[in-house]
Amino acid sequence: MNLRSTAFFLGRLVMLVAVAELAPLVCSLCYREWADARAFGVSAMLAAILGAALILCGRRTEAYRREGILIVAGSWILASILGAIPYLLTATISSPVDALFESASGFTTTGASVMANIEAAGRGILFWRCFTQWLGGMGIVVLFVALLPELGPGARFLYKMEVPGPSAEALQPRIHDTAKILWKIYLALTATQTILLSLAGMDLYDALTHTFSTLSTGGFSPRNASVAAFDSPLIEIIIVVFMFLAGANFSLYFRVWDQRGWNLLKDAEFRIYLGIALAASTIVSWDLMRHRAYEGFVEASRHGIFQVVSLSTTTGFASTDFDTWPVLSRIILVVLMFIGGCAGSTAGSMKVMRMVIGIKSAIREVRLIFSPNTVLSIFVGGRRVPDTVVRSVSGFFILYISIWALGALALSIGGPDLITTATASAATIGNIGPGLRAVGPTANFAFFGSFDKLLMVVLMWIGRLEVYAIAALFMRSFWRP
Amino acid sequence: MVSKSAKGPHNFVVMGAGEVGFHLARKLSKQGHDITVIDTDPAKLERIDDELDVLTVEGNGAHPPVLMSAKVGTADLLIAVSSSDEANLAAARIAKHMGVSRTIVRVGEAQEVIADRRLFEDLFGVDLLLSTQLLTTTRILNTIRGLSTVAVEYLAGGKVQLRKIHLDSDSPLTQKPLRELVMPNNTLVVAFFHGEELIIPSGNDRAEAGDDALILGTTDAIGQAEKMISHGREVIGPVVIAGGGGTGKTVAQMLERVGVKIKIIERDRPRAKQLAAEFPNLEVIHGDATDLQLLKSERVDAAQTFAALTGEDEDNLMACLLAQELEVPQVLALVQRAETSKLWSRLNLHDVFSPRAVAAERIQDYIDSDFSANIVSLQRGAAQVLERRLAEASPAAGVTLAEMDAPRGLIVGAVVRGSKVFVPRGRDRLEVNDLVILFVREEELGTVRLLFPGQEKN
Repeated sequence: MNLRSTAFFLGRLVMLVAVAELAPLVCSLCYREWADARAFGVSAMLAAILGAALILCGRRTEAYRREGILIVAGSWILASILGAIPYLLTATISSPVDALFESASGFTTTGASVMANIEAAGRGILFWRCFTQWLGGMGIVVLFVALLPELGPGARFLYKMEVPGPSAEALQPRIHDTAKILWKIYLALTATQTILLSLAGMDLYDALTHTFSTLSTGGFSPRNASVAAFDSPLIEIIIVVFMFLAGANFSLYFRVWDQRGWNLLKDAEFRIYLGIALAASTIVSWDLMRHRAYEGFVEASRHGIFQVVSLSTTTGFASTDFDTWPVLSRIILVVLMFIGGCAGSTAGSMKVMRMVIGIKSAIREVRLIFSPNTVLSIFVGGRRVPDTVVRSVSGFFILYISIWALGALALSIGGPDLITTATASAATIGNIGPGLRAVGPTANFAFFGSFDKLLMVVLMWIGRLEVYAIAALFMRSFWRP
Repeated sequence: MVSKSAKGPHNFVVMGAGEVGFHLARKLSKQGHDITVIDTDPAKLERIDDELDVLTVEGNGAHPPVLMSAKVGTADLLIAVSSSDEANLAAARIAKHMGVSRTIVRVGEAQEVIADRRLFEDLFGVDLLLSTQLLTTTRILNTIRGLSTVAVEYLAGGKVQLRKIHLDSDSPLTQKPLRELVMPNNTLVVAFFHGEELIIPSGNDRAEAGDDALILGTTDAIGQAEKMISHGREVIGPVVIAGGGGTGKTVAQMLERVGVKIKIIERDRPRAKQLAAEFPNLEVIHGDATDLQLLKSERVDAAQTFAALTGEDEDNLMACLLAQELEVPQVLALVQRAETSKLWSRLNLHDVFSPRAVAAERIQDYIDSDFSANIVSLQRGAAQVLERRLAEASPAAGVTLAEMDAPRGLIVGAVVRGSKVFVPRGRDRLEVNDLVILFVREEELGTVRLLFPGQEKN
């Protein structure tokens, strides 16, 4: 293990966080929150000092796999810790564990909160809350790779470790160029949604913060009532569309732009993703109608569609209190929480692509029982899935489900009830945000004990980095080759 | 044709992730070029994906959809170095059709490059055809003969050669003006390269040490001219070659032509028999070159040169160590695995040749020289070599060279008439149907069109 090369890379990444903290500083200044602005200044300074120290300790050498894993995992851990400092310094949150929870929930685009009265906090800190989601959405390491062309071959592995999905797709020969394209797409979507939300009646602050947490599929809102605060169907439509776009593979947008005559529906994963969303929306709307949960068809389908997209993309915005919904609808939402968005998106959870590969691989096993000598390859969208990918998907399933179950088990030691603990574990490992019952859309995570909160922070990291990078840190042989 | 700066980042597609492909991809990517590698073997691509910052595409490069997904149409260069000659050629043809600017194709056999280069170039849209075997053999030969030839180009199906030779202060070309020098029959000094400058010399000109000279001659005669100019070893002692495979055979064959005494040690009995039948003047020994007793009894210690050219690195290493033990003055080895070249250099051998590294070097040269395939157009296309069939309507038909009075920038280098090849002098007459090899400066291309009307060929 070459700790010095790891320190060098992490130092530069911490510098990036320091620069990022200047954005809420400017926001605080705009709203004349002088004390908060100073808190951001101090936080940025602290991050810069730590970054400089790491760079000085480190040495620039080739980073291999172990170093790459440590760099990616370390980036998220350090970013979450440094991101917590502004919450403490502005006295928004008093306990360090709570601050870390809020910060990790931001960077990992989870959107679970320990803040009971959000609107009581300063404008700057609420901007920071959404901004961390935006940075974490496309990925801080991918941003790092996009900004620094000289990282070399090691950057490719870093990129693969962070970009979600069973096999990260490269769009350009150089990974630096691929990362740049992804960030450009992200920026373009951000600009478009901000403009549309402004036109729909939001002020610039609300438009920007909601855009940040929509495109990152994070779900933080500077309002206590989340999106329901605006009670505007138009705003909800815009947010639904952009949540859905953020939950799809970003490289598809590049292909649409790059290849003439190509459209999103030609991608197998996108078709299934769309199909799941349509089917789930229909059933939930029908179920809500059946139980007369809302006045009329329009109202039922408005909330049905919004919540289905919000939870299947792992955003976690609430347009209504879905915890009061009938059981079928709630079950569907829980299932969607486990599926998640597409590979290569900003969404969390297990991903549609893995589901498809996993189910096809399971079907293959069934067929092999009665015709053991058949040679079967797995195809998705006409392309063969290499066996290494199938293997890694199976491993992922087992790890993901076991860790979720263990998480639920640990939380239930002091937890209120089965549904709360099970959905709290699923909502944090899937980077979704709200669960059901005591962690439902109108509630928050404040009542958990410090140990539970730290556990959920780890679950959020595991979910964002898709298990392997964080799981490797717990292996003895990782540290002692 | 679009010409970008040689230093600017280019977009290259490398077909074949073998030793040459991998080596090139790594080198070119480090230089800042954008690389896409195509191969059929996912395991090889995985290794590339792990170690290099390049895009990989799985599939056969001879299939249009694969080339399409590698975006070859917008690439600056396709480098087809897979192990299949046919696939490489097909890929070049398809890629050209899709719009790639240039193609490099590697073929295995030396003979294909010597005899059919122009055919391949025209038929398959190949800009640079190279054979690893030919490049390696040429290097080995030059080392054994002590020549300072930098590059060789084969013309008229291998009957005529153009050689670029490095001149040191011992070379007669740097000591006397050209007029006072008697060149062997059927050879000609075409040009000097002085730094970036290309000079077509008159009788009074003299080259400077450090220049390169360009010599044209028939394949039979050019060796003598080369020896004279580069002060190569006059007499070459006996040479022992271990391994009678492609490289060993070609080296032996070419050395035999200049009258060197050669022994080949070949382990495979049928192959040894075949060699003996094919080349009656060679002494073919059936045996193991890593057997000290055999080497002793074959008097390898009396040889001037020992060349270990088998296909196995381990055998070559062992044989070389034994030859060193027997105090052979010059010991050479062929090394397949390019990355072990450094280890070999510790052995104090005379020279080590890695076919892969040699091929990669040639391709690198091609890229560095702004994509100039032949050695004369190295000077950014300042001059070209053309082959023309003399048509009846040509004003040059039936005229002697003296009468033709061609400008200085146009040299009639060689004439192929039926099976006869010669370098013409002033009183020689050109006839209809002669194949003439022309060396032309850029500014005289118009004159060529006038005197030798015909299809424009490079």
